[in-house]
This record gives sequence, structure tokens and C-alpha cells, in this order.
Amino acid sequence: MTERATDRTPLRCALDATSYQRDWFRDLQRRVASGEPLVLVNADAPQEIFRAMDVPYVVNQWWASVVAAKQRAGEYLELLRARGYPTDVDPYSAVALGSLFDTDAARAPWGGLPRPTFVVAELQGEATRGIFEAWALESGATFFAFEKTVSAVDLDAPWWDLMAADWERLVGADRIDLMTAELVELVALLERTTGRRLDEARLVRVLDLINEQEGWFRRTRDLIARSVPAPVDVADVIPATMIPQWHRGTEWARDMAKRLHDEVAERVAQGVAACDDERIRLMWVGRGIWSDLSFYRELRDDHGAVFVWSMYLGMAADGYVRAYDPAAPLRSVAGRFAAFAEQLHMPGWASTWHVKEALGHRVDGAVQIGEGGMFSTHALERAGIPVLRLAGNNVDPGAWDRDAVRAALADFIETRVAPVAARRRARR
Amino acid sequence: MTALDELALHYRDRARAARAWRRADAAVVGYVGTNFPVELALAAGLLPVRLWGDPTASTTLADNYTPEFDHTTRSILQRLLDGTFDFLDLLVIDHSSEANAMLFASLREIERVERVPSLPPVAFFDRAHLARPSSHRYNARRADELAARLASLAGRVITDEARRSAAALRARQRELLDRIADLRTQRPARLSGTDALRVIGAGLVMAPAEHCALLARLIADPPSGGHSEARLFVTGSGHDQTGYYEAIERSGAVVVGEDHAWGDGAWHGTPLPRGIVERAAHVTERAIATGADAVVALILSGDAASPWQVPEMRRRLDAVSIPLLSIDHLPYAASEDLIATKLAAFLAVVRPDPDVA
Repeated sequence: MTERATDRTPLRCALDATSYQRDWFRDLQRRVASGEPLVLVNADAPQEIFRAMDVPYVVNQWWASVVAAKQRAGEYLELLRARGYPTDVDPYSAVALGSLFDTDAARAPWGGLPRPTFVVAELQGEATRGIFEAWALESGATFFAFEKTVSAVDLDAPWWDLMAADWERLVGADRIDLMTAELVELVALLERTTGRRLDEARLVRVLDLINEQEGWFRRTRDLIARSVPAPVDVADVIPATMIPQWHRGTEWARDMAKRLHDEVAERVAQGVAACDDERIRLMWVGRGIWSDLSFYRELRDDHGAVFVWSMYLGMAADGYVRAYDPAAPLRSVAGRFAAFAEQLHMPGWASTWHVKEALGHRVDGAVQIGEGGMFSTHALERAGIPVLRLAGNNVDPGAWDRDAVRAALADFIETRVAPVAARRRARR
Repeated sequence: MTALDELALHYRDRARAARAWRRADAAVVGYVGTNFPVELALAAGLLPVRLWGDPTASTTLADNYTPEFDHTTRSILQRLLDGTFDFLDLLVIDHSSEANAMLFASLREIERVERVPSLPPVAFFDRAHLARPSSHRYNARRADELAARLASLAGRVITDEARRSAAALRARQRELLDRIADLRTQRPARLSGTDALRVIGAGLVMAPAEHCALLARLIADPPSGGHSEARLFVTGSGHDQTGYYEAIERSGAVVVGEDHAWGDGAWHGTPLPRGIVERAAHVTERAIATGADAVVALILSGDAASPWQVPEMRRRLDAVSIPLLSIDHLPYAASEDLIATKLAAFLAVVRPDPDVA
């Protein structure tokens, strides 16, 4: 029998990343208090410019995850409601705005998010423009928006095989031209208002580090995919992936991605498993349940069920690497982000990717959260992978009924997933 | 039949002009969204028809793919899948909303996987929305692509003269609709909001020349009498049906203007969609211009943009002492009881004495 690692020995790199993140945030608070600017940026908008110019930034969705983990999301959504803003329209992206109205710094998660100087987002989703304009109105921050454009091009091959090298064609030159022009404008805004200058050599270094980092994530994803039993589950992998992702473009983040890989490889070599008796492999489709990451281990003991995949490592592996011309670094930043939402959400792009990842990880079932993504549901089911769709969202505790979810999951595993898993194991 | 009756007929039977057009062997281009360049389709000799939903019909087929869509978009998808819009030679979906972008991607994926015979050819008209030179350059390229697609469908070159002629026709239509708007802003209002919605909406589904002729007749001979009830300006979601207007106007008010794109919003101000500040400023300006006693934001369930716009709109309207009533999570099919209940208390405050015109 293999040794179960996750109860006794969490990934060392995940613990170190969490510790680093606290130190980093304290330092960020100190820098902002001493007069440095702060950017609040949406996760799917470019961040490389801030990194290269050493402008402190916080990712909106990371802060939402901290708020949710500290069980304060409901309270912050109420603060939004009190000011007439909606609480049920993309709460994941909106909850940070609620934290702006928290006047009790002593109780605020991690001492509270400092007031941003700039808020930055791509106009993705109907609510995004409203949320970020509201940020600007309520906080006095400057809102810099990137256009959200859409590809009308039919794919002739899987995007994940082509994107790293052939992104110019896949994304489309006009879309990349547009975002490159926007990046030039953003740089000009930052230079004008902060007095800092963008050093292109520094940006090239940032881009190289990102490509290296995401390359390690790709190796780790591939290693987990082919390892049965799984050496780690998503409750470990999500923080070990995402904290370095928020620090993309630093030596620390690149090194942490390598450490994650090496630690996973070590577990594989030693026969360490996330579950003593892995019988069922699951994928989690959608945003992580930040308020309740232990949920992912609920069914391990009773059912031998392990969540082996989430989009966080999957997208790090397939969605970020861009080969580029060092003479045109901004263009590759645009090439990374102009179609990012399509990789994650667009019917056809996302659904085929989910099937590829499911088959690659030999999952027996998928659990999907949220109302959307029916094309992924259908595609997975067509590929023989049963799907349980869960209502609700990942930050609002009012929309997450753990007991009901646990019951639905148990039933799903017993009635639909177990037969698929039994057939898979019989083929081994 | 009066001009108003004829316009109401076109509004009620919105495929009427398109089917007649097809019988004459001319091509029809359907569109979804508020950014479609109608002039371009007219210059190509095509009949542009804005697609609409049906709040009373099932959306079972669409729900199988897109349960997260707002009801109007789901209804349009349903009707594309069930063959209701079988008169289309081409469907153009513009990028005036994220739902539209997903509708396009959904149709493309449905066609790729299932080959649905009822679907027309589909094109996406991408649009950037910010006032930047880079966005304008991007939009110019997309407009050129769309022009080429429409010209190909029409089998003719779109000449400068055809463009000028189409633009002149649209300018004439806009001018006449401005005069229709004037009928609503008179005291008492000479046209109900419900009728106005029909008059404006008919112009989105019929040939502009015929629409202009009917508008001219209506302006020359407007309905007698007037509406001296509380005057409301409507904002919030787009309303492609008259249900909510009928409910409002049965509750003792008249809608004197709106900024959504099935009403006056299609003709006034900058192209939709608008940001929080821009929309709040526009609504305030239009509410004053139309002599509204109050503004009502009717926000349909699934509209993710409008709820964020309400607080700033309220601040701006408060500054000019115009009350705002916001009603959200409204079902697509008009809820008369809900409107009657919400509006009664509001109107009592807005206009304590309904006889004061």
C-alpha cells in the first residue's frame, strides 16, 4: 500500500509559498503606506508591465480568495449591497470592492488591502466594466481598461498544441495590434504618473522567467497526469501553483514552480500517494472553493476519490508559454492575454481542452461549478466522463451548501463514476 | 388602417417584412445586438432585421447549451435552433455584449458538433468599445470585413453612392423618430410609451423607406387626446416586448422616453453599451429633456451590467431631484403584479396628486 502524504506532510513548497505570500503582502502594505502606487489588476489582464516596472500590484481574484478563506466574503458582499451594488453578479470579481468599505483594519484579512492607485481589467464579462468603474468612483483610483476582443477564426488544430509558437496566427494580428497599442498606452500612463521607466531588457527577463516557470508547471501537470495513484491532489496543488502564478516573472516564482515539480517527482519516486487506496480520479471544472479547500478531500476516505485536476495547474501548463521575439516583447504579452478568456471559457476552445485534460489524467468523473460551461459538460459526457454540475459560486457562502454538495457528490460517485472507474482499473 | 395600426402590425408580426422581401428574391440579414451597421446592409441592398425573443415560448433547446444566458438571448438561440428565423440569408452577431460573443461561439460550436440544418450562416462583428485610436483602427478593420461579407451575400459592390444614399435614408428615419420623441415629451404626452415602443421597434424589422412613410403619416395625424399621468423615463435592460410598458401604463404612468436599444436608446447618444458614468450622465440628461417626473430602471434577470450602473445613476438623478426606482431580477415575461405593486408606492411619492399635469 502506498503512503498517504497529504494529511501528514503537506507539500513543503505550498507551505513555503503561503509563508512567502504573507511576507510579500506585509512588504506591499509597507511600500504603499510609504507612498508607492498600487495596482489592483484582474487575473486575466496583463501583469508583466507592473512586474518589469516594479510597480506593486495585487490580483483581484487572489484578494477575493483571501477574503473567502477568511470567511469574510458574505460580510463584504453586504457592504456592497448597502451601497446599492449587486451581490449576485460575479461576486468573485466584486468581493474585493466590498473590502474597500471595511473600515475596521484590525479585523480585515491580512491587515486589509491598501487603497489602489490604479485598477486594471480587460472588459471581459458584462459586469467587469461596472465593477471596475465602481472601483474608480468609490476609491478615486484610475481605471485602465483593455478591450476584450473575440476571435471569429475557426481553429484548424487544438489551440494548446499551437499557442506557444503560433500565437500570432491563432489569436489574430489585429487583436494583438490592439492590445499592444493598449500596453504602450498603459506604460505611458505609468511612466507619466509614477516617474518610473519601462526597461525593455527587464521586461525581456520577466518574459523569460515566465516561460521557464510555466514550462515547469507543464512538466508537473504531465507528471501528475501519468501517475496513478496521484501523488498530490488539487487542495495541495492549487496554492502551490497559484501563489507563484501571482508572482509570475520573478526568480522566486520560477524557482517555486521547479520546487513543486521536484517535490511531486520525489513523491512519485517514493510511491507516496494523495490517497492510500485511490479508486476514483476526479477533475474539478471551474473556480476553486477558496473558502473551503478541505472540501476536496471530503470523499477520499469513504470513496477513495481524489481530485487530480483543476484548471489552475492545467492552464498554467497550456495557457501561458509564448515563444517571442526579444525585439518586440510587448507583442508577446498581448499574444498571451488577448485570447486568454477564450482558452478558459469559449465553447469549442474550453470544451475540447477539458476533454483533452480529462483523458490525459485518466479521470473517471468531473465536477463542474457554476451555471455556464454546458459545452464542456456535453463534450466530457460524450467522451464517456460523467459530469456532476453544481450550482452556486466559489466565494459567496450563501451560495455554497456543503452538506448538500457532499450528498450530491456521494450519490454521483456511487451511481455514475464508480462503474467508469472500475472499467478503467480493469484495463490496467 | 391608421399609420399607428400598421406600425403595430409590423411590430407584432416582425417577420412580415422579411418574408415579403424573401418572396421578392432579395436577401435578408438578421442581426443580434446594438452595434450592427444598418446603413452598410442597406447600402448592399439587403434588408436588415434585428432579431427578437419570445418571453412566452419554451427555451428547452437553448437551455441545453446555455442556461447561463439571459432569457432574451436564450430565446433568440432557441428560435435559431427551432427554425423560427428561417428567413435569414445571414446572421450577424455583434459584440455589444458578452452574451452576444458567447452566443456566436455557442452557435459555431453547435454547428461544428451537430450540424443543425435550421441555422443560417453566422458571422461575428467584433467591436472595441473604448474611445481610443487603437480601438477605432480595430473597428475600421472589422467594418471592412463585414462590408465584404455583406457585399458577397448581395452579389454587388457597395459603392460610395449607395453608402451615401443609405446614410441619408437613416438620417431621415432618425429625424422622423426625433419628431415622434417630441410627441412623447409634449404635455400631455401625445403618444404612450407602449405605442412608441411599437413605432420604434417596427423600424428595426422593416425597410427604412416604408418605416419613414408610416412615421410621416403618424406625425401628420397623431393620436388624439393625451396622457397626463406621471411621466417616467425607463432605463435598465433592453425590452424587445411591450409587456412592461403596458404594465406601467396600466398603473397610472406614461413612459416618455428610454435609453435602451429597442426604444429611443437606439437613436440617441453614443452607441451602446455605455459605462457607468456615461450612462448615468446620459439618462439624467434625457430624463430632464423628456420632462420625466422620475426614472425607472427595469432590470431583467441575467442583465449583469445594469445593476452596477444604478448607484451612480441615483447620485446624478438625486442632484437634479429626479427620483429613481430600480427593480431588478425581473422575469423576461412581464410581471404585471410586480410592477403594479412596486410602482404604486413609488408613484404616490413621485406624484401625490395625479391630476396635476
